[in-house]
Amino acid sequence: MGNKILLLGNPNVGKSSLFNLLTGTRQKTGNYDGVTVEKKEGRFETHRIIDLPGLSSVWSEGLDERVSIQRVLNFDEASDRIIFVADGTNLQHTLVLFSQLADLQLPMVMAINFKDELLSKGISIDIQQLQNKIACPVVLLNGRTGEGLDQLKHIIRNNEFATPNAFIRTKYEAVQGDVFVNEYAGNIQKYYDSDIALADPIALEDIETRDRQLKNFLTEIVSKDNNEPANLLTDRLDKVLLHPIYGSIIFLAILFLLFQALFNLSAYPMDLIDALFGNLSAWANDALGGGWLSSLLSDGVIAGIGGIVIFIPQIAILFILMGALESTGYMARIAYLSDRWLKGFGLSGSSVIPLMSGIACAIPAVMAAKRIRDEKERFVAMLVVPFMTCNARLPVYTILIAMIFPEDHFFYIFNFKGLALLAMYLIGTFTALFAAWVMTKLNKSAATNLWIMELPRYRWPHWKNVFLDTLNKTKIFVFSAGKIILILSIILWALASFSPQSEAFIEKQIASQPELADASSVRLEYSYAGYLGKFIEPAIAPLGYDWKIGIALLSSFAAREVFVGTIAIIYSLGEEAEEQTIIEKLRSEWNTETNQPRYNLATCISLLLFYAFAMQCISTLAIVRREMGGWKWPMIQFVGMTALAYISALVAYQLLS
Amino acid sequence: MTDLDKIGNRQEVTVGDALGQNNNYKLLMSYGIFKGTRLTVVRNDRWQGMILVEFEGRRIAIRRKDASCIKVEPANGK
Repeated sequence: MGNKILLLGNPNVGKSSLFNLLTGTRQKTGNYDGVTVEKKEGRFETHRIIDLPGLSSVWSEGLDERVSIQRVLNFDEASDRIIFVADGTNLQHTLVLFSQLADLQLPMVMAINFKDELLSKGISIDIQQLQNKIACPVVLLNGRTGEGLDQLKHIIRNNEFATPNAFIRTKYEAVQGDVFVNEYAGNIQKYYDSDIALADPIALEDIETRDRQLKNFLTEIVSKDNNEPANLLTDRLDKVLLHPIYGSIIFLAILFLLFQALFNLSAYPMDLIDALFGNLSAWANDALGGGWLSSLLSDGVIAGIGGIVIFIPQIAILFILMGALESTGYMARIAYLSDRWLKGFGLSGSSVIPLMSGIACAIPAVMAAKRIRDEKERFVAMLVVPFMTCNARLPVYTILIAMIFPEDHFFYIFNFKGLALLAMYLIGTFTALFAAWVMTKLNKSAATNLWIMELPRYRWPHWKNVFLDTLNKTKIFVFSAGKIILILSIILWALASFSPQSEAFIEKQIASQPELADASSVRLEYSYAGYLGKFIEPAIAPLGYDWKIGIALLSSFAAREVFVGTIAIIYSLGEEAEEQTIIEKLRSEWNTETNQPRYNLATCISLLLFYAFAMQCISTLAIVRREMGGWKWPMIQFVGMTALAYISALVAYQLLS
Repeated sequence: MTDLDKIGNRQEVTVGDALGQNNNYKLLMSYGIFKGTRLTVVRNDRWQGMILVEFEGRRIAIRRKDASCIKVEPANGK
């Protein structure tokens, strides 16, 4: 039976990179503080490795930091061990937390990270002397290359963790009755239990005393080459990237290029996958020789799964580009630049990371909002983050934009579809900001809105980490969405393939409409799904939707991306043109009442707006409920967003049709 | 002692007395900024409402409003 090994340290010292190195489980590791917002677990041989959120000190106030502190206070001496990850380039600051943990007398090993940067900055650390002074093993590590990892693994395998010498523990000794006790752990626990004011003098004095002590403590251990080169690259880049005008223009240009790249780079692989699934569906139909099993496989399973697999290139490219931005350190600069603008909406630069994370997925974004120190801002951010355009909306947008925008390029390489997609992302962002402004105005409670952030040095992206991270996140997206889609695909196929009416009744209906080239539309109309779609049709007809779109709309309330799979199944049930792509099938759909294409400009814009605003993600609702401690606010969020979606789709369709 | 408005870019300063021990000061401490810490003001950005300081190779951005809890003394009497 192995140990439970906690990875602890300040934010942005490379805990998550070490976690990846030890466990092989890749996870989010960005170059701005506070990537790990919840504890993560992995395995190294028989040991459980637990990656905890970064912590400034044991007196920290952030909700995520409390996860780490509470875990330390519940330390199990029999099986828990700590790997303290320290920033070698700033040992004095990073050791404040170490000295606090040492005074709690917990078994540890210290892993000093950024060995490569120590060399380049002319800093040398006398490891042997440090080890002797603290009486605890110390390993010098390069989290990017894994240098020093074998030594750390050896310590873990042989359980060579040691309880370090205390720093100022004696200060907290007291006599209670006849017993001599140390009140340090008790003070920390009381601090949280009684919610003492932030400026608790005990906490302030504790940190100040340690900082002073560590200055002397490290004098003989750390030496610095006075000819350390200035950080010219960071300095020069910040002069431009933080400039109020140039910085903002560059930020907008990066966003523009990102969305152009999303369409341009993904076009060929997407066409290839679409054609592949079209052929696979036709082949399965031929091979099984028709019948219900053939229909289930080709029209249900293959069409449904193909509907989501096609978007892997786009999702992966988005993750790669976002991951690269994170690991260069640019994300923290976006927070700096946007603070001024966000203040106007009742938010601060602290909300940028949750909002930008929302572009990938609202679930980690809601969790990232836990790092916002101001309670009011945190509350607002959690409620508005689902307006940000998440990956699940991407497949829906891609299809609808392809229906209404031309393939044309401008300036040779830029395309209109990319521009339209950028517009959808901006609509999501501005709606999130507007909702935040409204909520801030409604909630009159005082906000402190403290804002302070470390801007890390610019680093070249660690591409291996970026690609592994992308692979892992894409897998999670496809498999978690894939499970829902597979189940819903089979259910939808069954609902669309079977009818409460007798076969004789359906044949009679088909015979009564000899002008119809394809009898399958009549079969679909009289299927269970058809009746379901028709049941809600009166409510959605003013939005420009028919009962077929109604089926897709209903099924996608579990998860937005199901829309595409549902559409693919509904329009795959025809007996002809199996190898047609989804877009071709939608283009051939005709509205007999208006004698226009069903998916015309008005309907597509109406659908785009509906999907931009509607709260169609059960998982996000569940995570908001967990963070808010009840169903009241998630329900208000669901009703409010869906009402906004309905009204805006209605207005758009009525104006454009 | 001087206030933030009088500090220019690339000026070295020393953090002086905190104006009371308030929330903001504790937050600054958690980033390693104490009374006596010597900082280089990289940007005193009035337009963005930010002050970007550098010390020990680290860059910390603080909203000017939040940094007003500390009084700073220009280093070397400048």
